[in-house]
Amino acid sequence: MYGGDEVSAIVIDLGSHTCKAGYAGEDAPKAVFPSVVGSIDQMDVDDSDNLEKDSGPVLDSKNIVRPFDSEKSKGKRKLYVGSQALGYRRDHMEVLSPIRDGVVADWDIVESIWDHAFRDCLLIDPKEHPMLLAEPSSNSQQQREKTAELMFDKYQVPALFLAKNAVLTSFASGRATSLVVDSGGGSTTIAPVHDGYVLQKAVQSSPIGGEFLTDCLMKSLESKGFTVKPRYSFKRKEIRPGEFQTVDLDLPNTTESYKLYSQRVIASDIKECVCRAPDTPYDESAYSNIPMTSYELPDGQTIEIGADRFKIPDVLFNPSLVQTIPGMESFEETAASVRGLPQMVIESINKCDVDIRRELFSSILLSGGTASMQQLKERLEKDLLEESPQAARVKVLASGNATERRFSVWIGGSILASLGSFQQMWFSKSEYEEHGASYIQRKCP
Amino acid sequence: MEAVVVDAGSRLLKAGFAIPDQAPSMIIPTQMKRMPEDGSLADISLSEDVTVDPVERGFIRDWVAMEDLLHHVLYTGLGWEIGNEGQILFTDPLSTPKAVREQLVQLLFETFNISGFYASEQAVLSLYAVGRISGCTVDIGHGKIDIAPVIEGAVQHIASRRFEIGGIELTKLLAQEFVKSNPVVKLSTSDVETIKEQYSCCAEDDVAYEKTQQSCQEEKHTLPDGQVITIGRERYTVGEALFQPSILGLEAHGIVEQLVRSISSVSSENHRQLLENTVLCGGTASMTGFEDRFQKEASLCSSAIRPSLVKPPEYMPENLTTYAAWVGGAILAKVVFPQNQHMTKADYDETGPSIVHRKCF
Repeated sequence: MYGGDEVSAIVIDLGSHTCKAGYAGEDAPKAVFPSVVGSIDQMDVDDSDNLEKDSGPVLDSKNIVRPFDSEKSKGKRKLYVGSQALGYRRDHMEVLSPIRDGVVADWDIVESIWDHAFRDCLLIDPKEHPMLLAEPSSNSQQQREKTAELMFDKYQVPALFLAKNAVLTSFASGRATSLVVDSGGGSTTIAPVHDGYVLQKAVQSSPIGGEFLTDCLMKSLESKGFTVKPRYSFKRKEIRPGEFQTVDLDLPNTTESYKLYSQRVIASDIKECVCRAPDTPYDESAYSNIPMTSYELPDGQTIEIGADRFKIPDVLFNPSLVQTIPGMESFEETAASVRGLPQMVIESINKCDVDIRRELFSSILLSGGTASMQQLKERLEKDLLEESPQAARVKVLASGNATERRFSVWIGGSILASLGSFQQMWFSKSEYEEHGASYIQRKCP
Repeated sequence: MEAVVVDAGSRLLKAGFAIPDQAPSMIIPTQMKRMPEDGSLADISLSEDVTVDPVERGFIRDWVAMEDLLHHVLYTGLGWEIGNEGQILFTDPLSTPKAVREQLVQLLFETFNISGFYASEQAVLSLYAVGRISGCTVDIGHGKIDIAPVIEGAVQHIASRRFEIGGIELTKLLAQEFVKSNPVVKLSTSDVETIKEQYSCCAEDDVAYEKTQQSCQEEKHTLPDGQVITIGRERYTVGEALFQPSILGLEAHGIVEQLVRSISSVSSENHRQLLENTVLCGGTASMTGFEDRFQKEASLCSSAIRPSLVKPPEYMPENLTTYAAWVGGAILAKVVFPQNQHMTKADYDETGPSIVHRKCF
């Protein structure tokens, strides 16, 4: 039992795209940074002969690396976390993500992300603050135990709680029962919450998220001939007063993953500024004469975007549209099995008990970065009204403020951790030492 | 009695009564020297024997020293009487941990028995000093650089950046350069500081900087102890370090680039407002040629809207850049204390230090 006193809890939401961290009780996270890290393998720096292959064990004619050596070489990589560190281009720096297919694959990276959040952004000592972590709605027991071990053993936190994303979003809107549509960077998850518990059998998930849409947009722009130049690859010179010239810089040691990462940053900004969900399903002929919107790229080039404004968001509703975008053919097989957003909502609700279906239909919550797209709420409501049973009253709720939608999981955590009645529910260090990490299943349902 | 505004920086502590269009009445060094006799600390910053820095990188670290410093400032410097303490407004740098704020509040209410307290972030105050509520503050201090976009009085924490480099790194750089060019001369840190303040400047752009590295006019400077030192291209190196941090050995972009990136993380409808109201403040920003170089680099930055600096109003005193946060604090104090929006002794007694987070944003 941990009796919370004046010391505030820290709420961390490690998403697939951004990590949000801050104090409980506040209305927005203080630290928001990408949840990918730059990594330079030290073996690369020392061994100047092997230039091509970067991370992982290096095998070539000169030196055969044995398995235990590869562990050592992996341990010798230097990680750069945070938007400042990632924003600076370094030779041989690869961009790595800790999360693969929705589960955490690399715990070292997760550790470095947490370190950055605590020591560089929030400037706190984890020993003094209880931690509330947000976890995906379908997290395995093994992942939770590993999280608990890491937090208690390495960071020595006094208390911990793991809450599911969907439950936190529900709290943020003040409801105990709702259907949460969480459309974030890496994936879209639909989870019904009933009385504060996620109904696991009805959780639906699809790999189409913000990053997928950004990739679609990039491929579409490339096919039209516009190249998105990353910020580091050019420099502006003043040749005559008032006249500027953009000069391309040749930086051969930049890795592909870093280039892709920088391009994605720009493309996602284009997507956020310009894209809107169409009111009706996308139709090639109907949108061919639409007026173009212009957007200025960082290097000064102006691009015109017309039909793509509506085509890209419609991929959420109709994944088979992906086939019409040149360059995205590799996703055809996965796209065929993935269903659109309204279909997933209906499927999820149908897997729940008949009694609560009405309540779920009337409280559908939108959360996540992609959900803050303009007109998404209206389109989803319209599509659901068509597909749902006649008697159901469909209501899609989303907070008006785009920041609140983006951080609704974090805000829910902030609310939960500052409730008086929550203070007795913490999983404390003494309980961990007594019962072990598996006790977390009982304490954090 | 007027409220007191205190801006405790890493190098200079600015304090005075809240009279907005004047300079603070006390601008004293924060550095203190430990006197061995009775074990207490006095406020003289001279030799390097046992100097104590209560404020490091903008945050208060040494609370015992801070207590003595504040004692000197409030009772000796500003003329408060024990038993009749007034109200204080303190300025905080960006990302101040909650614990530091609470400890400050505890110190002031328990040891000094003040009657009212308010704290505000330096970024917002610097904007108030130039008459704006929205804009972007670039605060280049002794211990840190803060870049903070502010919209309608609220700092956008997500987009703001803090760097742990400042005037102190530039001093070290200058000392290193002098060791290379004048190996015979022995310099103390405070000598280097004086030389830095007097001579350092920024080149017009990076092409001009390259030229100075090859050949530069040299000047002779006489130190207080009689030694003569030649100052040549080091003066430009110091100024250039802010625009090309690789000179300091850091892997980071220059100041203007960081400003542009920071603003691009804010939603685009506010970009114009932020970029057109950029305020430079802090001691290091008053270097000769810094503003012009900043403008030049800003016009090179690849964006339709270019950062443009705000001119301080005419009724403000000269050298506003060095203590803009203090002046902003004075303006705010005139609004907050009469309207009873501050934290009172009664609040503190009832709830404890944590109420500061609710009363002061």
